[in-house]
Amino acid sequence: MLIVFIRVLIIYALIIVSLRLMGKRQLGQLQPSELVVTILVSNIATMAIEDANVPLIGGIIPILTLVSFDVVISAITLKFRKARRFISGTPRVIIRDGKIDQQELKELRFTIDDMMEQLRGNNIFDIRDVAFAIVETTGKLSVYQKFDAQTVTAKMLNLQGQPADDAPPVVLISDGVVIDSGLKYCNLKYEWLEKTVTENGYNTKDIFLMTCNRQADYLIVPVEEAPNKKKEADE
Amino acid sequence: MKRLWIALCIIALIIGVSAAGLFHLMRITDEMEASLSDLSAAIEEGSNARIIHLAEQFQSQWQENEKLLLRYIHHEALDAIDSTTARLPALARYEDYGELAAEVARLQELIDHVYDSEVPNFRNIF
Repeated sequence: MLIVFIRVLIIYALIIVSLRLMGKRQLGQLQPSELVVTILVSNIATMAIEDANVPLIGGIIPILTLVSFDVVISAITLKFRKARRFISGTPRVIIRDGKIDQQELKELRFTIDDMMEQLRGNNIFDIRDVAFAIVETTGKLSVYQKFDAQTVTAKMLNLQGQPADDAPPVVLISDGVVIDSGLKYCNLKYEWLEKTVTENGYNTKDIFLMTCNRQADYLIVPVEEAPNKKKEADE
Repeated sequence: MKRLWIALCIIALIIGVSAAGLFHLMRITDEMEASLSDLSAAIEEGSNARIIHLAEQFQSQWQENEKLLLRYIHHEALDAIDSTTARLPALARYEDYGELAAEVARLQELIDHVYDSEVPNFRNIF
């Protein structure tokens, strides 16, 4: 049993390293080649963990080989467009200028239900709102809406914003701990933070979450007392 | 780009380790087969003391080599050699030369099989 435990730890560490080597892209959007690698790695890992008759290196070598080749293939596809087309395919337009390309749908083996489901996933319930719909190489549908169905933007209304409007709020205090990078991002000093926290009647360690933007517009969420402690305090 | 270099290094390392493993296996196979040939010759001659010595020597030689082989060869293949090797000294001591010769021949086949199944040739790959 201890052998299985140790093998699991080793394979787990190896897969974590392998996924890091494959990059963040792997986690969110799987290209066909990455999907293949993911399925194979999970199967090989299971085999290496379960079957004590297989030397551990018999699991490690295939996993490392697959991941390394995936990285090499990614590098090749990055450099050569033809290789990229061959391995990942190309995005396909299924709605062009508001007209459904039925031939393309057939070629992709995309049913009407599939298309409608993907459109609903993009928050579009009326197909007449769609100008272009493109099936990406990951299988995800990207939609460009007709002008009259698009969400109104500040640009459309000719609204002028402040430069700071483009900077979203960041976390300054997380679970009682001051995040220095957040302070730096907001161009604020530690003294300002302490003063603001004290003015609101808290200590830093009493704050569960504090966010702030570059205009020093902040939000404070205090730590909630545990139910038992609260009861004791009431008594 | 850093990832690509790491990947290329890993591929080079895997090829290196695999080649080293194959050469190690080839060396061990040659050694073991030479020992088994000596044992076969001794059985033919019928010199009891020499047969016992060679059988015991082979057993310890195998135990030593098996430690490293376990790291990259499927254990079932090694288990078969292990159990056959364990019988050799007793068969030699009790002078059951017919059975001993058969077991030596079996060991030769098993060791050949381990090597043959690791060589990257057309038959093994497909």
